[in-house]
Amino acid sequence: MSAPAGKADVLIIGTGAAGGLMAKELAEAGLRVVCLDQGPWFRPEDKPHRHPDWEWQRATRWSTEVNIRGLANDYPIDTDSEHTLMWSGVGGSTLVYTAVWPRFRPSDFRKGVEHGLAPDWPISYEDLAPFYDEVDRMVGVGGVDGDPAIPPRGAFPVPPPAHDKLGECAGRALDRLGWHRWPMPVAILGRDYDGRAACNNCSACQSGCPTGAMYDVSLHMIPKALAAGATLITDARVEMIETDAAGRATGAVYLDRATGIRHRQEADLVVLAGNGIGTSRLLLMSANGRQPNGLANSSDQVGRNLMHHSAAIIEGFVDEDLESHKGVINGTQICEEFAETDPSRGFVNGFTLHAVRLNGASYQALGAHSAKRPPWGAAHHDWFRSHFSRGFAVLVIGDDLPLPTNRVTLSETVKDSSGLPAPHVEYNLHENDKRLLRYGIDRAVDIVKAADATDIRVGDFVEADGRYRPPTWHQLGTARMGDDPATSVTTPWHQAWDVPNLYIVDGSSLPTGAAVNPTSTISALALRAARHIAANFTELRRADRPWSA
Amino acid sequence: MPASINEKTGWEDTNEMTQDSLSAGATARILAGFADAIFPGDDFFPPAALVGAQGVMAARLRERLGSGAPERLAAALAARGGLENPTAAAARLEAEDYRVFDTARAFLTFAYYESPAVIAAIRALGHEYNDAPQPKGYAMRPVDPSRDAPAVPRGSYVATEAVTRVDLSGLDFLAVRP
Repeated sequence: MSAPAGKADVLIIGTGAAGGLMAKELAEAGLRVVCLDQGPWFRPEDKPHRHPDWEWQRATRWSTEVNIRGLANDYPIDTDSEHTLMWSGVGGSTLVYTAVWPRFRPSDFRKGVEHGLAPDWPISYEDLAPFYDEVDRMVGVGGVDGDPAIPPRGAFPVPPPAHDKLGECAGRALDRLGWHRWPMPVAILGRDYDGRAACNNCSACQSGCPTGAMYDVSLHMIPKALAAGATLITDARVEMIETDAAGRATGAVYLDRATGIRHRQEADLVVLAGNGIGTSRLLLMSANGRQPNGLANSSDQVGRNLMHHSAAIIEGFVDEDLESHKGVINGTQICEEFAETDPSRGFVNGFTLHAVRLNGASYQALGAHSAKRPPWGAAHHDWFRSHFSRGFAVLVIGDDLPLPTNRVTLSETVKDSSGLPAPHVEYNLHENDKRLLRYGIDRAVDIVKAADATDIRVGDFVEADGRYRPPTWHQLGTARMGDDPATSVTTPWHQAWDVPNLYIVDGSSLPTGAAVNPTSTISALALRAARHIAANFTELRRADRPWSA
Repeated sequence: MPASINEKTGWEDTNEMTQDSLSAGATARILAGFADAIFPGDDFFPPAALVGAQGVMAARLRERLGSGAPERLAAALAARGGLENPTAAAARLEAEDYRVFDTARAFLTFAYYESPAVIAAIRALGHEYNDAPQPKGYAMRPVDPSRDAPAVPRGSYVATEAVTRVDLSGLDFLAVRP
């Protein structure tokens, strides 16, 4: 088996939000970094934004849903529980996300104390705060200073992109209700920054951003990693992480998807950053005689505690042109009025509400995010006249509990294009999550009513058979960090309890998911982990036991 | 957020007529009739068949669902009177085989709204609407905190040291712990 890149100091598997940032940091620290990604580069000109069929492409080849795309660089998801959203390629899912960038709040790190239905994090908000601030400057987060719903924080490096009419409408509604609102922090530029041009409000954020105004790891982090000397091997599908007799990781075996040839990449230290589903899958595929239940899985927690956020989306149509086909898709107002636990509501944990735009004409003519189909036939054109550009949506993002039964395992029937087992995903809401979601839907309806909406559509993601199958962007919790090797997979520094030179850094690391999009937190954790590794690499490369033990 | 198409299932079941029982001309007329039933046109909007949306739909059905997919749709419509009364046939298909109907409708919708004539109609309604998102984008008012943030900020958070156990006594359903 060949080893084309030679031995690395650090091997990083996956080049998404966490892996890409760590590659840049570790390479700039002078370490010899090799990155493997199962996908290729996707160039800005590959994206659909300049083509008249852009909406069709977004629904198919550029769909955020992996099982609709079905591309060879993807791995399919064997599930009847959800519509899994992710991207496999250089930059990971930052190619097709919304770049929504709020922070977790201090109580999100202390759910064990607060109610005991989820664990405390082994670190606090204050531990992570400086890394949040630094990442914001690195990626160019747009926001408005002074939000009283979060702790004091460093200044935003740029203003957010335009809100305009839709943001004003949602803001008026929230003011009428007397609820918290604030301009949503987004990793999208409201003015030029770091050699990147400001957003021009094209609104097709979910097919990636060809201009670079939206933070995309493949455009903004990987090039810096390569400039600092990192090596990136694309179309490299890792089939297992190998360990030696002492239980230390020695590297990974990967398949070159173009040739089918198997290679071995050796390294002193391995970082696994494949997202909450891909990381679990690879750990389970890496089972060996010494760790037969999967690598780093003596706790039996690998793949468990999968969190996605409970979700619903409510649309309201008003008698006013909101230009809802223009501007950053989820870049106007966030309401954190209900983000903290209040048991008098009938559940623990909280949720946030986001004012969201509605995309292009085809998408709106199919019912937009709620997918509640408008009339067809003679009534359709009148419907379009009275609804197009006049609606907005309120997205409910709920903090779902980590349940051991919500789980990633290996499929017994479905394989990827290389013949490797696909992940099987089982995900169901706890009764607490259901109550939270029902309450959240009612509050979202309150908002669109307060905007004087005349037509309200509730998208609860319950399908015809009565089952809740949400679109799941956020893959969290399946290799969580903790203080106790019996209940967690890694130390507070992301070091696998069972494999001292294996670091797991991505959404799977999060013990709880909070009530907001997680990429800012994943990125802050990645920066913190990278700084730790860089500062202690001489010891860590020889580590035979966990750092914190 | 999910794409608004519902494909992959249902198409294998539409076997009211065999693929070769309709002539090419009849298939074309049925698909054109279906297109106009869904988007018949009015003073602003052109009928779907006039802009050729059914052809784009058929090509994409073939690309995504297999070479015989357009013919299967035509057969399903023909079995419901699609040559004689396209609107009634579409309504029957919607009622009797929703997944097939909805997929065809979704494919047709993408084809219709990307056609230049329909984009011109959207503009004629007074909307600024680009053929494609880039390179032009849209000019919008930049964020102004005095307009886009609340005049009197509201909101709070529980600080790390202030987090304490909440009273769960009213949440009986939590007795079954995860």
